[in-house]
Amino acid sequence: MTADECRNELVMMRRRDMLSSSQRVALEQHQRECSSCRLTRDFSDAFDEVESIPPDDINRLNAMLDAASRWIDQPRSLTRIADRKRSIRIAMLVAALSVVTTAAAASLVVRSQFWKFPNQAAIGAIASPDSGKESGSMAPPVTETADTAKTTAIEVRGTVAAVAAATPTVLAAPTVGQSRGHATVVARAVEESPSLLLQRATDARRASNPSEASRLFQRLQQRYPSSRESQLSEVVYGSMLLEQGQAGPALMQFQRYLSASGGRNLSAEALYGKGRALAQLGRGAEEQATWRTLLDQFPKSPYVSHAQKRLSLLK
Amino acid sequence: MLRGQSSTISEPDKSGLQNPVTRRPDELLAVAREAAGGSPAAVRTLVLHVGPPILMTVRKILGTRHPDLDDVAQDSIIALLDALAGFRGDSSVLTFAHRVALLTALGARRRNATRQKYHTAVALEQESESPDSCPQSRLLAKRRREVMLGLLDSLPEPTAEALALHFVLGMTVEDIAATVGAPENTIWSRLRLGKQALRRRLADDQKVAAALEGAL
Repeated sequence: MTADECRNELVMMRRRDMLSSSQRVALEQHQRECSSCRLTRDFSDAFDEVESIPPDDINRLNAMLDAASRWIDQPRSLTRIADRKRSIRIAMLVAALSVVTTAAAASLVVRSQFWKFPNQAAIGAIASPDSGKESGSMAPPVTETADTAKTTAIEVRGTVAAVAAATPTVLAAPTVGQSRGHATVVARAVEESPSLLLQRATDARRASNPSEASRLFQRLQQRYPSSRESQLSEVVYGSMLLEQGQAGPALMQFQRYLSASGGRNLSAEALYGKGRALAQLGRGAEEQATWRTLLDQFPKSPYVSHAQKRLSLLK
Repeated sequence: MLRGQSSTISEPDKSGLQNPVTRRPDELLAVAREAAGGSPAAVRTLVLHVGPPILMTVRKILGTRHPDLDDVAQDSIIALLDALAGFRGDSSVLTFAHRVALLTALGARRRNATRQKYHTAVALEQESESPDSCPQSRLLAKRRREVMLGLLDSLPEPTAEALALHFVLGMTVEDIAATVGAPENTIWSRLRLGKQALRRRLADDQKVAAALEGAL
């Protein structure tokens, strides 16, 4: 048997404080001869030195709880990148996109000085500042107000696609002021992205600020009605409304989530919320039907016992 | 932990794992099952139980004051929650959490291109921990950790995982086989290859070998 074939079992037992006195003696004897056990002992002990627990671990634990909460809210879409880094990456991506867009526009302007293209009508429509969002204008007006500056990152991407489709074309090169305006739009697009709106809303909810949470949830649902975040928010917002005793609006949120086609990750939660909302509204027959649906479709969900209990009470 | 005794858990020891002598039913198993289903209360309970051990494991790999410590700890908890759906109960939930944290931290190390930053972090860590041990032994322990972690970065992942579970978390061959789901002979072979690589690295690094002289 070579040195590295020793199983080091006594060393591992020593590490777990499981050695009897006779085993301890046996280990000491064995270690004099076995370099593998000495190697294992020394390197294992080196890692056991990292034992002190810093006082800020409670903050780390809280951050882990927050990450887990986000996982519950968005079980499929949560990336493993921490939020701080993710936000930076999104901002960098959008900034890079704006640079590419501006460069493309500048390139087209240079080319237009030498060539005349036949599709001037289409070009004019795109370049016209009055055409606004409908034509996917390259740069927003300098005097853009907060309301008109609600372009999303997707819309910016769409603008690039529109420019590509219209090429060769002529576009007015953005002035310095326009570039600033464009940057503002991009920054607002990042701030107002569906994922960040949802995150801010859930943060406000956790911080016991229901009015701010409601405002953000409504903003998300109005601005991005077809986004995944908006759909998820229907369950989260519905639960919040239910906690506040607003069973009617809560029921609408849950029903909206459930009525959408396709498989939904939070259908069990939505049914659970719908059942509780109906209970608060005193609509017993519909509540019974909801609990039965939940039991049929999600027999292993954690809400089964609640559903069964309610059904037995309603009989 | 022996294969087939997956539903038991025991008191954590110095390495953060369990002492098989005082086995009791794995109380976290039911919580983990509910957490996998997305129950908020179960997820919270699970995080409160496995959070500190996960932090300890991540700290052992990255160092006490590594700048990515928080991120990796959060990534570990997300990875654990993602993986719970496929958790078969071959090991205890705590051991499973340790393994997930270990792999996440090792992955973060491999991705970390700023090695110099890491060394700085280790230096800070050394000043902050083990105030009772003498400076020489602290230095020796630091060098051993550097050697081992450097080796783990360079080894194939299965070998590195087996070696890390053995040296960092103090698992026996049987424990590792049960946790990883591989035959004991395979684990044993990986450990043997890992130890041979460690000896080669020590032989190559004269400075470390000199520091470890007498210990080997």
